[in-house]
Amino acid sequence: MNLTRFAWRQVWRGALIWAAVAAIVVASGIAAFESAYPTAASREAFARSIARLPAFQALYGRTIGVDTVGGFVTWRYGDLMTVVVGLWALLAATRILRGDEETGRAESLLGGAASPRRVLLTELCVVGAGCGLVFLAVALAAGVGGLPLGGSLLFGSLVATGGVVFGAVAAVTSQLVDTRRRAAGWAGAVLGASYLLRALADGSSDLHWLGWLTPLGWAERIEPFTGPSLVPIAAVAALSAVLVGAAAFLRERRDTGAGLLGARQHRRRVRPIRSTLALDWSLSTGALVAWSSGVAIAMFVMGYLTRDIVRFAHDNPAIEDQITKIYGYSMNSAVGFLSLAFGVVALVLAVFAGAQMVSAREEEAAGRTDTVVVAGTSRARWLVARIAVALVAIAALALVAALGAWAGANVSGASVGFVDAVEASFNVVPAALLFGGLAVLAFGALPRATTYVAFGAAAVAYLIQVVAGLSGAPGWLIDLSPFSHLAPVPATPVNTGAMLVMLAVALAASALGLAAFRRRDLASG
Amino acid sequence: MSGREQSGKPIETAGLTKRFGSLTALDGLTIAVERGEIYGFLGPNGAGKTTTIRAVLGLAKPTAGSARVFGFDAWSERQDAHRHLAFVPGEFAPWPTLRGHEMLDLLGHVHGGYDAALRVRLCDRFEFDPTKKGREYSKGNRQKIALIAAFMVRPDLLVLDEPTSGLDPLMEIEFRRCVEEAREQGQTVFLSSHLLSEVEAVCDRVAILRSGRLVEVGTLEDLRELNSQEVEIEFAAAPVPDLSTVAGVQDVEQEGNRVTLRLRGSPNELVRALAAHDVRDLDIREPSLEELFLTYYGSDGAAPPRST
Repeated sequence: MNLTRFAWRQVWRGALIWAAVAAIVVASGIAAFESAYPTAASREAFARSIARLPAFQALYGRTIGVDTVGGFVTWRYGDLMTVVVGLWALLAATRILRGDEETGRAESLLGGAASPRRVLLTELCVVGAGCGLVFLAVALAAGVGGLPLGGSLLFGSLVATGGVVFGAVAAVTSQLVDTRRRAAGWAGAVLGASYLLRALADGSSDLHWLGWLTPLGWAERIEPFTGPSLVPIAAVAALSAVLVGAAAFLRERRDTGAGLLGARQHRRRVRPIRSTLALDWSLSTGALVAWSSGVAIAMFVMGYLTRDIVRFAHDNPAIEDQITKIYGYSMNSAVGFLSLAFGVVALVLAVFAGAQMVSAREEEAAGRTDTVVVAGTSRARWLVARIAVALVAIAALALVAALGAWAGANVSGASVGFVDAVEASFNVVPAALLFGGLAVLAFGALPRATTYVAFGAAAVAYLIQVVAGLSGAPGWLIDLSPFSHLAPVPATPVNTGAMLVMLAVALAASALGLAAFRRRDLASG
Repeated sequence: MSGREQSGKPIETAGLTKRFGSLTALDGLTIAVERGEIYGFLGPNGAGKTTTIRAVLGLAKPTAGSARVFGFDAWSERQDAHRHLAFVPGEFAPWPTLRGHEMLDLLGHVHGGYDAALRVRLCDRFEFDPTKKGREYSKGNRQKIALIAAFMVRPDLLVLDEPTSGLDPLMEIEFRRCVEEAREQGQTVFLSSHLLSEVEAVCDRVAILRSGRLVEVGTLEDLRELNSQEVEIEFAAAPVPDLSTVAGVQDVEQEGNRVTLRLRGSPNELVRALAAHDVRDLDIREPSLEELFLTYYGSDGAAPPRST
């Protein structure tokens, strides 16, 4: 049927990609576990050390039978993949259910004979087919990897439950609100709450029953290889059926294009936009909020894991050795691990700095720079305003990273000082500014290469540092990466000399970029 | 500064040339736009109209020659030049997250002030709803933002690059009225277009550009001479009348009951001649600029072949 094919065309790529990724994750997880822990004794030792780490239980789920291949793979990847597939399903569902109405495409579909409810159900079946693809991929990868057939099929179902439940949740939110973005946001909030509830249940010793309140807790209780049960699958199926029924019921009670809760009231901006500086600030707040939440959550998790990772490092000297080889210092202390974590923040901030110039280039390519420049802003002022906003945003992100790590560490009971965390975070800012400066230079001198330079330079530098450290590459190559010159703060004091050099390079590159920008043609397209 | 302003013409180019690699987009263009006139800049797509405008606005640096705006060099003194002009691009790109009124605020303030009453009037006349977000506006409504933003600052010079693309006919009439009013206020308008009829309707003087070179500068009268229509007539029955002797008719071609011809000036005589016959179908259309160029200037080597 036409409608089915049309919906399938919008989701098959994502479904195929995530099915492939899930299969690869499962296959490589099995291989990694078998090679790292070849003997029964080593597996038992691993299981014992993991069982002592509540943060890991919160993050990935309760450890059940992790001294077996099936138990390990279920614990380490089961919940993670369920969440990812859930995320995919809710994005796909809101896209075809809500997005098509936003663009007006749905009207041409509904212009045919199909009733709105029938269109909804058909489109949901298509999302369900995508989940089926994931089920097959996971079951196949587990079976080929040598796990029992029955358990492999159940493991595939476990991962697919995320897609089914959160696809159904998205079907309901798509009826309630009037834009794809809001529908996805609401469904995403439900997913986030489900995850937090599951993490809380598994991370603490006495709240385990909370796991029965979230679909992710149900999925965990399928226990495909260690104690298989069909009850949770039935629960997921029942909940999804109720949600889909509710969505179909609500669909008949609203107009196409509208949401049951009505359109959002327009928020009035606090301050009117009267200058390019105000414009840039307003344009970047959305991205800043998104990046801040990502960085805050990631660093909170890092901080939260600190205590357990340090314990794990003590238990596993082989891993500890490898870390020391890459980074040149040990992480069997809280500050050691945090220094490592903020090395990743350096990369994140560098990419963020680059992204600011990529968005400047997008403004130019769309012709919006022409508009403000001809209206009366000088080119220098336009670019400096962008750079100023980027600087403020980078500082804010660094602060958020420090806050997240500090809060996470202290919640888990590791003692990390707030000042230490802030110092560690701002220690990596000069490296981010260096890459930001290079992006400004590219934007000024080679505008069409802005994206490659902005993201490529930082990625290559980070790869050099990590790969070269592992394989014992020549010193000059490692020295080429600015990340290598960041002192592991707070484990060691700040490397002031390197910091000043990075800042000087950043400043010089930005000045050159600005000069070049004033001398070149503005290029749209 | 004001002394130079008095002396400078709104737009003056001398041997303006722009090359992109081996491609010459603009080849020695010399034009002068006088104060208070509405200057049409006509040419088919790809003739170099937008390239000229980008040089005049200081967005692109001339490879050779120069452009001046009110006496200011368009490249090296572009900010002084920008104070006196407003620009409407062919495809205005709104900020997706900003509302219409926010964009008008921004552009008005960046220009250094605007006529608030005029802004309200313009929104009214163009039936523009300023409360939507940039991404929600249709093509025509996006153009309205740019048009309102340009007219409301009352600039000495309006540079309009195919400004009416996407506007419906009623709004096009409104646009023409705005241009007329600008003329009455003593403003200068530089209107680039590939639509003969648009330029004919509002312009005092017209420059015709083709393949980066100036073909002709003339008054409206000269342009009228250019403007001919293509007529296609289908007769009901066989003996088809000879129309080649009718006043204003040229290039008559016959194929069965079907006659095509080119008509200059008033259609009066032709209509009279047809009245005595049984006409089944009559179609009159304005030829494209490209067709006109082929008719009046020959293929000139570089011209593309006739597409039909």
